[in-house]
Parts: sequence; C-alpha cells; structure tokens
Amino acid sequence: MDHHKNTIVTRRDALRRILKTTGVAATLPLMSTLGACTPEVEKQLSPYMALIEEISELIIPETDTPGAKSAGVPAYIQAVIGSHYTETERTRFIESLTIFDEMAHAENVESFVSASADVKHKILSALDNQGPSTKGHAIWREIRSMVIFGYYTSEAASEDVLYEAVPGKYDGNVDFSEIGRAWMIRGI
Amino acid sequence: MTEDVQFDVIIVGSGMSGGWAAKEFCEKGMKTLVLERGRDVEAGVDYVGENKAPWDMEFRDRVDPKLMKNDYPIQSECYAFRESDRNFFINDRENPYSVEDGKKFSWIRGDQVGGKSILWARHSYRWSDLDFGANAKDGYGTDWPIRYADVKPWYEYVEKFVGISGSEEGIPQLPDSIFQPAIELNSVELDAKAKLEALHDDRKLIIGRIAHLTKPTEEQLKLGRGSCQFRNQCQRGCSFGAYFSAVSATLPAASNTGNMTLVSDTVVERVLYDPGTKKATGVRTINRKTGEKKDFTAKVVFLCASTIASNQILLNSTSETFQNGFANSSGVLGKYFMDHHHQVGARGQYPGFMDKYYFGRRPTGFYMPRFRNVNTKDGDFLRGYGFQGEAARPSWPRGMDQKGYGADFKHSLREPGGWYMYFGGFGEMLPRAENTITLHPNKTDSYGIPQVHLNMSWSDNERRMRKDIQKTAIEMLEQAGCQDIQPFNKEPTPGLAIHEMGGARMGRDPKTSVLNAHNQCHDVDNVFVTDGAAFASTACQNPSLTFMALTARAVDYAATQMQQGKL
Ligand SMILES: Cc1cc2nc3c(=O)[nH]c(=O)nc-3n(C[C@H](O)[C@H](O)[C@H](O)COP(=O)(O)OP(=O)(O)OC[C@H]3O[C@@H](n4cnc5c(N)ncnc54)[C@H](O)[C@@H]3O)c2cc1C
Repeated sequence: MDHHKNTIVTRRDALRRILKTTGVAATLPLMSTLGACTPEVEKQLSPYMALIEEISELIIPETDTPGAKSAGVPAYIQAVIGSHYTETERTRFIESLTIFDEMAHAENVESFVSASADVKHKILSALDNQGPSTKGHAIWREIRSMVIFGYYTSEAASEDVLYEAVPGKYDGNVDFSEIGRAWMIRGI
Repeated sequence: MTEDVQFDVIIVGSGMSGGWAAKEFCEKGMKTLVLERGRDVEAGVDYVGENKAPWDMEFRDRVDPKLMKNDYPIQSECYAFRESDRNFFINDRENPYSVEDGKKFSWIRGDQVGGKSILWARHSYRWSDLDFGANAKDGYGTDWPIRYADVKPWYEYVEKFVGISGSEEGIPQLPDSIFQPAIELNSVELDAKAKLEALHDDRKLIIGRIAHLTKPTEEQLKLGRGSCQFRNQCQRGCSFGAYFSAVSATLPAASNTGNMTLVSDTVVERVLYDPGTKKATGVRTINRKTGEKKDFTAKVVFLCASTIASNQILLNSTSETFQNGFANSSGVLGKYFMDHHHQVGARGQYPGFMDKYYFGRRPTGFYMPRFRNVNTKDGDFLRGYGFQGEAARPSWPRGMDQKGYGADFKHSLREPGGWYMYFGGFGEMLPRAENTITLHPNKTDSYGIPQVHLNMSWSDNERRMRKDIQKTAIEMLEQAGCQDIQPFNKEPTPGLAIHEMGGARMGRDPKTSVLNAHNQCHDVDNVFVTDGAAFASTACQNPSLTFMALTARAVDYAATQMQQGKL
C-alpha cells in the first residue's frame, strides 16, 4: 500500500513538473483575494482558539499521519467563523462553545482544555451519542463537520487519503489493493 | 477599431452557438463582428480556479454565504457554483430579471466570452426523428420543419471538430455520434449493465457521451487542445483544452482566420430594421463600461445570445412594422418556452465489489437512453426521459453524516465506503403556449433595457412522467441487487436543468412560427436565431450539440444565400 502511494506521489511531482514546463501552472493568476478575519474578530475569537484546537485534534488526532492541528484546521475554522459567519452567527457559535466547559464543570474540572484525556473522551462521547434535541448537539455537529471538512481538504490529509492533482487517465476497474486508500475527492 | 470595417455579419453572443456561427462565417471568408455583453475571457489566463488544490483556497472552494445571498442568490442554486468557478457565473444583483408572481424561474447565466459553454457538463447526444417528429405525432406544439436527415450531416460536421467521447451502440432513438474512444464504465456499472440489459431488451446502460478529447485529431491539436486528464474540475476552465468550449475551440478557430472582430462588454439592445428594404440593418449596442450607445451595421444578423436573451432582444426590437416584437407577425414570439425536468430518481447501496475501486476523476457518468413511448405507447404520459447516473464509492464526506471521532474514526475513512448507484431522470417538457417570455412593462435592467419576465410551470404530463421515472429507477436498482433504496422527487425550479428552449420556434407555417427550416425569420430574411430559442420541442437529451449543429447548418445556408446575392 505504502509502496504504491510513493509511486503515486512521484508521478504527481512529475506531472507538476510537466505543468510547470508547459507554463500552465506558471501563468496561473491569483484568485480574487478573499476577506481574511479582521483584527477585531481575531481578538473576539482568540480566547476560544485553545478549545477549538483541542477539539479539532480529538476529532482527527495525529496517528501515523498528521492530525487536525498540524493540518491547520484551527486556522481554517477561525477563517470561516471570522469571514463567512455573520456577526450573529459568530456570537451564537462562541456562546454555544460554553457547553464544553459546562460539561467539564459537571465532571469537577475547571475547563475542557485542562481536563484529563479520559474526561475529554467522556464528554465528547456523550455529545456524539446524544439526540438532536439535547443542548450541545448542534454545536458538536457543527464543529465536527468543520473539522472533518477542514482536515480532508488540507494538504496534510493527502498523506492520509490519496490526492492526485492530474490523474491523466481513468481506470474504472482497479483492484482496491492497488490503490490502498480512499481518494480525497474535492469536498464541498 | 470597428468603424471602417464593413461587416458581412453580426453575431450576438459568443457562447456555444455564437462561437460556432463565428467560426463558420470566418472560415467562409466573411468579415464577422461578434458582440458579447460579458467580459473577455482568454483560455488559460482567465481560468482563475484551475489547478488549485482544495488547500490552495482559503475556504476550500466554498463561497462566502453572505456573498452568495447578496450577489448570487440564483446562480448559487446551480450545482456547479463554487468559489473556483464563480467568475463564470453572472452577478444576480447587478442583472435583475422578473418572474411571474407565485412562480419561480432560476436563470443560470454566464456573463463572459464563451457564455455557458465554459460551465457546461458536456453531455452531448444526437436527437432522432422520435424527437423531431414528436410535435407532429401528438399535436403539442407545431411540427419541426426539419427531420434527422436534415441535421445528420451537420451533427457529423460539428462532432468532428468538437470531439465527443462515447461508445457506438446503434440505438435508433439515440444515434451514434462520430466518437473518440469511450471513457470506461466502472466495475459496478458494468455489473448493473449486464443485469439490466438481460432483463430489458429495450434498455441500454452506456457511458455518458461527453465533449472531451480522448484521442485528439490534428485539427484539435493545432488549436492547442489535448487529451482529457481526468481532473474533473472542468467548470474552472481547462488549459489542456480537453473539453469543448467556445473559448477552447470555436473562437480560436474563428480568430485564426483574421476575419473575426470580437467586442466584449457590449450589450445588444435591439435589432435595427429598415421598413423600406424589409431587412435588418444591424444592431444597437450599449457599452457596459461607458454606457455609450452605438449602432453596428451588417448584411446579416445572427442571434446566439442564449434562449432567453435572444427572445429578450427580439421582443425589445419593436418598430412601426413590428409593434409586438421583431419578426413577430405570427404572434407566437416568446411563447412555448421550455426546459427539461429533472431531480427525480432513486439511489441505493450496491452490495459487493468491495475489492474494486477506480483511478482518476471521471468527468461523466452513465447514460440510459429513452425507452418509454419509443416503439409502443407506454404509461399515462406523452414523450419520454433518459437517465443519467453513476456508481461510486463515497469517500471522507460520509464521515460528516456519521458519528464518531478519534483515531479509529479517522482510520475508518481511509477506506472508501461501499458502492452506491443512482439513476436521475431528465424528461421532456411539453411545449405549451402559456409558458412565456415577455418584457416587463416597467422594470428595466441597469442598461435601461426592459427586464425579461419569465412565466413557466410544469404540466400534469411532466408530473405523471416523474412518477414513472421514480418507479422505474427504484425497479432497476432492485433488479441490479441494490439495498436501502432511497427515491427522490423534488419538483425542480424551472430553469435549473439549464436547458432552456423555445420562444422563437422554427416551423413550416409563418402564421404559427417565427423561424423557418433554416433558423431564418419568416418575416425578415437577413435575421437568424440559432440558439435554443429556435426549438419547437425539447426532446429529453441535452440540447447543446443540436444547437451547434443547427447553427453550422444555418450559417451554411445564409452564406450560400449571401454568395448568390440573395441576402
Ligand atoms: C452547469 C451547467 C451544465 C450544463 N450541462 C450541459 C450538458 O451537459 N449538456 C448540454 O447540452 N448543455 C448543458 N448545459 C447548457 C449549455 O451550457 C447551454 O445549452 C449552452 O451554453 C447554450 O448555448 P447558447 O449559445 O445559447 O448560450 P450561451 O453559451 O450562454 O452563450 C450566450 C452568450 O450570449 C451573451 N449575451 C446574452 N445576451 C446578450 C446581449 N443582449 N448582447 C450581447 N451578448 C449577449 C451571453 O453573455 C453569452 O456569452 C449546461 C449549462 C450549465 C450552466
């Protein structure tokens, strides 16, 4: 499996080189600049970034491949909350995050971030298994979706699942063992 | 720039149809002026989203929801709308149109050189006499003045240039094109094909025929086009020129002749008419940047602005002679407006094949040509439908719908999920007079041109057909051995199939149609309409290949008439 993955990576690099020499990649214009977070929003979010980082890494931890943190997921979430959310959505998001500390308090811990690994898992597994009408369900699904989306659209995730910028061919009848991993596909 | 050139022909619109008109006229040595309301697009250079990995985009190809709501509330209903191709969709806020109270119509538009040909899904199917003869058979609409035999040589002609990949099947109701090598069906699709074709001798499950190069010709290579690389990010634009668009193929060919003048950012407001000669003299335009109005003259005018926009121009070109719209002595202009209906079918889990997967992102799925009401009368509805579909294995996005977190969860997403398959119908819509394009009496757009007012709804025939589509999709999934079958049937907002047709239909009788058998106005012989506006019915196949064939055919006719001094 890994052997195959190496060949894919090598070929991908080769294709990148081809693209470069034919000038395709070199002449790419920049996408229109997207509004990054304003300093105020960054300030508003900064007290929650440690919590967001902690939750992200618990959802997609580092194993033999990178986890959410080194994949830049917290920064991605910050960008979405900062730029794509309205003021109202942002406030609601931040307020909903308090559930994590509330649940930590119920376990007699000061905060989610400072809790032991066991307590953190107890809380996340409670959130993961609770019904849609429970407090905390919505924020858990929301942040969980953002982490998964942010991770599997990151460059680091291409070490975990397979990404091929320019496949060059389509083969519809391949043994899975020859590929070994799921394709990254493009999200959305 | 344009002042001292005497143009032989003016082409309004530079998309799928206009690109063909430009290429054909230019190659025949005619001085050709192409007027395009949108901005210029240069192949490669303006494909701003191309070659971007998801992580190269801050928001991973998602569009800012606030921007979507403000500027793209309609365009964002299109499945293909993303950050990486947003530049090829029109800004809704800046380009308003009107819809009948209580009804909906989503008008998906490009706003650039190349029009929607940059965005299309490239499915390309010939029509047959089942389609061209449909109106005559059941009496809805008026008879097409042409048959398959009239169009066949022109299908061949455009296909050689466009490049269509597909498999030869010998299906009478879906004639084979001139194909480049077919893309593969995957292992599960082949399994379903075998099962379904064994049970139904009227059905075939084939690979979707798409305008992608798989074995480029000399001519295509010379235009800088190459083979498909299976990235499946076509709507962003393709620097390989692997899929057909006006920007990758027809406009460069037209430009190479030295006979084309393409002027972008120029909105055609109306066609100008001289009652003395009973001919159009040219068109009036508005420069989008300066607001300046300017008239251009030529011997012949081709309208290729897309179905709705060409209707708008005709309706707006009133004069003493044509008080109800240009060349509208029949009074049918703007009527019999149509789209396809879709978003109906079923999806199921396909057991087995867990040791099978695929390599590459295939830019097509499978197609099952129409089998209802072909040789026999089936069911309680007129006309028919085809299926588009796909079998695939879901990747990580399924993780968002599941439960779980942590290392096990992460590692479970390293393998793709089990196979699923879906069938989605595309059905023919009956031509009906009450579905109309008109001009709003007082609302205008930012150029002061009356807004189009769209009024379309589905009839019971479409609703009955949808029931059959859904039932049949479920049945076939069952027959293929699927489990957990989930039907869907969401009555679509008209317009979202993006196959608008009609309004200036072709016909045999000038009293009941706007155009003759050569897309030429019955009332004004030097004006032609060769986009979907000309269509008298919709068939159930995607229409663009037929737009292209009829455009090339109309140019051939017009050019011959011009050479003979008749135009
Ligand atoms: C996402 C998507 C998927 C699709 N998939 C398929 C498919 O698989 N198969 C298929 O057959 N079809 C498909 N279509 C539809 C296909 O794109 C259209 O049928 C085709 O582009 C129509 O050709 P046209 O020349 O009429 O219009 P366009 O290609 O839209 O070109 C019209 C041009 O005229 C310009 N124009 C408009 N008004 C004026 C004016 N007043 N003055 C000057 N210029 C003007 C426009 O800006 C535009 O550039 C799809 C469309 C979309 C958006």
